[in-house]
Amino acid sequence: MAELTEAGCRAFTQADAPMTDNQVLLRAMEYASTFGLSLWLRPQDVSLAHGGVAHDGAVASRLGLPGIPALAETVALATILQLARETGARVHLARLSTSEGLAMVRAAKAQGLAVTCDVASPHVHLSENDLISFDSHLHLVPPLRSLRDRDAIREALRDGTIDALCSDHTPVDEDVKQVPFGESAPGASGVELLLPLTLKWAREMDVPLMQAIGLISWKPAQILGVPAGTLAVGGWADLCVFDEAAEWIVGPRTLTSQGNNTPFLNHLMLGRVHYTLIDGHIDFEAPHSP
Amino acid sequence: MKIHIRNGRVIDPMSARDEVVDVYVAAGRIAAIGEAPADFRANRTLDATGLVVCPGLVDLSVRLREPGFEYRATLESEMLAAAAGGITSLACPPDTDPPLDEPGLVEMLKFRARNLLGPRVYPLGAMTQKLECRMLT
Repeated sequence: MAELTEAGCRAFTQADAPMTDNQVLLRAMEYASTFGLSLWLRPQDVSLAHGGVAHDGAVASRLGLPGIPALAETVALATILQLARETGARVHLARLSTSEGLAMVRAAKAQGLAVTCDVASPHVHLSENDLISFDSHLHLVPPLRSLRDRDAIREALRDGTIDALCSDHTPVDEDVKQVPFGESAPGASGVELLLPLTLKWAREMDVPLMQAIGLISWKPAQILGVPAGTLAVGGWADLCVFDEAAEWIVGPRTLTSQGNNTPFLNHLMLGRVHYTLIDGHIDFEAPHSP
Repeated sequence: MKIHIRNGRVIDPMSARDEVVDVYVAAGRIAAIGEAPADFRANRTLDATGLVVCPGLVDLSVRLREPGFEYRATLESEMLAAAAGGITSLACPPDTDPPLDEPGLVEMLKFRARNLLGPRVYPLGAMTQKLECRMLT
């Protein structure tokens, strides 16, 4: 981790690879604590999740899909939180998906534990109920959970338990999606939907635009530890100029990504980027811009 | 390159700013918000009337599919897609092939990304070698 930090890595993670050994996790936390490094961990107990492709609930049972119980998240989360308390390591919890998991993070924060967490944007809007279509674009990691979980995510975004929203962008070929749900490659393309899906949540929950933008700008910038996500005189000229009322339909012709694998295919989105400035340079300019 | 972003609704959550105001950009930095700096001559003026001007978005998880999965998408296409989504900084997870578990791989990805249009790329390091959860990196 020391050499990777020198090479520019700002945090360390197993990503979606299984955390199979708590002693390794403990050593990683001790090391991270000693050297002030940050660990980003997606809580999922490997044995409880084994073989699952969908939330272990009524819908998966009806469709005959092997389940991943909510317990797979909460059991791993309890371990991570306990190790973080013991070691003092800085931990960011990635891609939470359950109501109980969010309640545990809320309680840990209330006790003064310095943890942060994020959720992927599709999970703010979709649930296991959408799986009825058997559309493999809904095969995500972690799985889309119950409506109760989805509503808990929407509330935890409002009350600040969730610090950031991310796209968890995972472009995948159509040939690995055009197979039965259980055999399909998981993941969704999402970078172009992060903004409109955040705006949709804010509209539906009557949350001010300012608070919504914070979840995808300065708050994730602080987690990443970079001086981005704010407009300060003398600071980086990284800006986004968008029309919050512009309507567009998600599809191969409107997406720039090579991954058209999104559960929001053919959905109407509100909010479209006109210009993106990076380092003072216009890196993106929409064809429809004035 | 000097850019004048005119008449947009500037929303900056960190400084709690929400007002219709002009933004001036020069030499990669925000030169002023509100009044133009002395002698500011824009190379380009963007009319942001009716639009929101906010900080570039920061995305904590974007798979750029490099190295190893270029057949699924290329670094170039996904960097552009992210910019099209308003994203200006992103973190990419190390579950590439091979995983980002040594400095050379991280430096190569950063170098490749720097030479393309698109967001600032922050690769996350693998916590364990080959992501196998046995030996720490």
